[in-house]
Amino acid sequence: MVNSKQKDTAPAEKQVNNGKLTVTVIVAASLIVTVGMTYVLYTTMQDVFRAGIDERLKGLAGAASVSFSTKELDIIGHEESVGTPAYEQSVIKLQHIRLQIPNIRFAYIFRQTDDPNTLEFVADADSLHPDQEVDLNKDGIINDEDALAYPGDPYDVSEISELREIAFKSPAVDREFVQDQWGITLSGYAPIRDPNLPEKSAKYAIGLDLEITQFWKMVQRIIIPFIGFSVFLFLVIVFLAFSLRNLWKRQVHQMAELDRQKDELIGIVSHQLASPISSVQWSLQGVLDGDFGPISNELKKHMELDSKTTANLLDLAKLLLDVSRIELGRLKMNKQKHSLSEFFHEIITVIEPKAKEKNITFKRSIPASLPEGMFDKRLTHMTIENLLTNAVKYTPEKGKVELTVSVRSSVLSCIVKDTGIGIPKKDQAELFGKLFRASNVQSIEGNGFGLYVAKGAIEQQGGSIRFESEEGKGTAFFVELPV
Amino acid sequence: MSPAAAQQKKILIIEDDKGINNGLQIKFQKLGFKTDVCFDGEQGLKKMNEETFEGIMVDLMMPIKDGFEVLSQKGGTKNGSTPIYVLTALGSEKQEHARKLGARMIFSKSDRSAAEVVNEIQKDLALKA
Repeated sequence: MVNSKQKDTAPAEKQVNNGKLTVTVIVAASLIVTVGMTYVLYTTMQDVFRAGIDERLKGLAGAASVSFSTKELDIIGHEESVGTPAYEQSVIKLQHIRLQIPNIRFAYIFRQTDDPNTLEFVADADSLHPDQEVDLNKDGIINDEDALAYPGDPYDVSEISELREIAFKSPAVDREFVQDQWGITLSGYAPIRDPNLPEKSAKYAIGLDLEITQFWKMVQRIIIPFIGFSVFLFLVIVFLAFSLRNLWKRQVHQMAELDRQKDELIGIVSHQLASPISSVQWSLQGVLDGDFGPISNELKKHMELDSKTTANLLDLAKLLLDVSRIELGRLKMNKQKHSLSEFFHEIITVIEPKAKEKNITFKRSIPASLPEGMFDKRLTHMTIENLLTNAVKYTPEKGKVELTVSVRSSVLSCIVKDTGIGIPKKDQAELFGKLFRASNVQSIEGNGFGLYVAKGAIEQQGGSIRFESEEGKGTAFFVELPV
Repeated sequence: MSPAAAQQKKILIIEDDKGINNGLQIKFQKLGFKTDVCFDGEQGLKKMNEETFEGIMVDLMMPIKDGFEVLSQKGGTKNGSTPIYVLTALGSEKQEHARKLGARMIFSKSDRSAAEVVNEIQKDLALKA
């Protein structure tokens, strides 16, 4: 984790990648929202225009319906009525209606029959002389499609519910447009009532086919500004998202740089501190050793305390220096051949009095003969001593601390086990973090750097460190180190 | 080695920190060594040109001329084959550099006590003799 620049940039890169993901999500979401909104707005507009034209057509059909009376229609509407004055009068009225109202293509009258699905033609604006051969649809050919409606012709309305169910009671408009080669038409109907029986369902209904090609094309064109606006909106969102991402990226890099500068500063400061502190420590030790002449017991006691404080101060400065080196990926190894027996003997000499002071049983199982090994003595010493010091520190009086050492195929395995307060489950994932202290040790002195440096020191040497712990029962740390 | 046997041995201490310099001087003298001291690399090289020592103790970070210069220029003095013991507060990278320049032993000021350093040098010199 510590041996390259990767370590410095990894969190920053991760943050930038998170930013990338956020931008993608924002862009995708805004695309869906803008497309959806455009569709909804457009169909709503269409519905509004459609409702408007429906009302107009109903009004036209309703107005046209009052030109006819049931009485005059009762006597026509049969094959035989063609050519009678009453029939011609009705057809001419329909032609007038068609002339007066712009864009009406067809005007006609139906009659209900006993079969609700079948209506009969009564009159049609084009059928003054229904036997005439005319090019009704103006396609240049006269064929069956141009056949004029004959009075009494049946008309199947089983699939036109508006005509079947509504048109004889109140004005109605077809739901569907009719689209053919000449354009789009919409059919509207209105009942022709018997003034004596206004409540009863009418027997006749007038139908008008309104050509709405131009109008409907205009309505459809409304989509263009809608799409334009949506594209604009989408581009604005994309632009903002990318600006946000760049800002985020810059921020992340700036933070990483600040973090690096901070580590550099800590390194410089702690290095500058370590020098004079060691100088003082050496002088104090010289005085205690009697190098400058004999000293009184009282002064010796006092100076021993000073020496201890100075040693702690020096340890802290060194620890900070290691933290900054790990952070900057500059923790250098100094692997040399050392006797492992001597190595552990030195550590035990430091731990034993601490354990005794707290009435803690310090059990060791170390093989009688240990080989020599290649390792960084300072860092490894610091790690193992730190684990043991922690074990003693976080184990209540009369507890037990156990150090188990073994070497198998050039791998040193070291287990530090205690019957201490343990590490709460929720803290375990962060235990090796910088400045992290478990929630149950806040009242015990500590700086939160020890395990961070321990992990860095062991991993830098190609080893591993892990732990198992149960709160209230104890903790075991497992260190494996190639030697 | 008895103090009498060490009596003939003279150690040069080149260290700009007066406290440490003085402390080392006393420790060496207590073991029966003769000592000569100076406080920068230039003075040190000057003394190395005048006299041959049994051992030289040198700090790395010093004014005027530093310990690296003392190490690289010792060949041109009367002390070309004198063991040089480095005492430093610098990290292992610099220590490695000093080792390459011919330092016989390197001691970290913050990790070792004066007594330890002086004892190890005494042992090393006895072996050499």
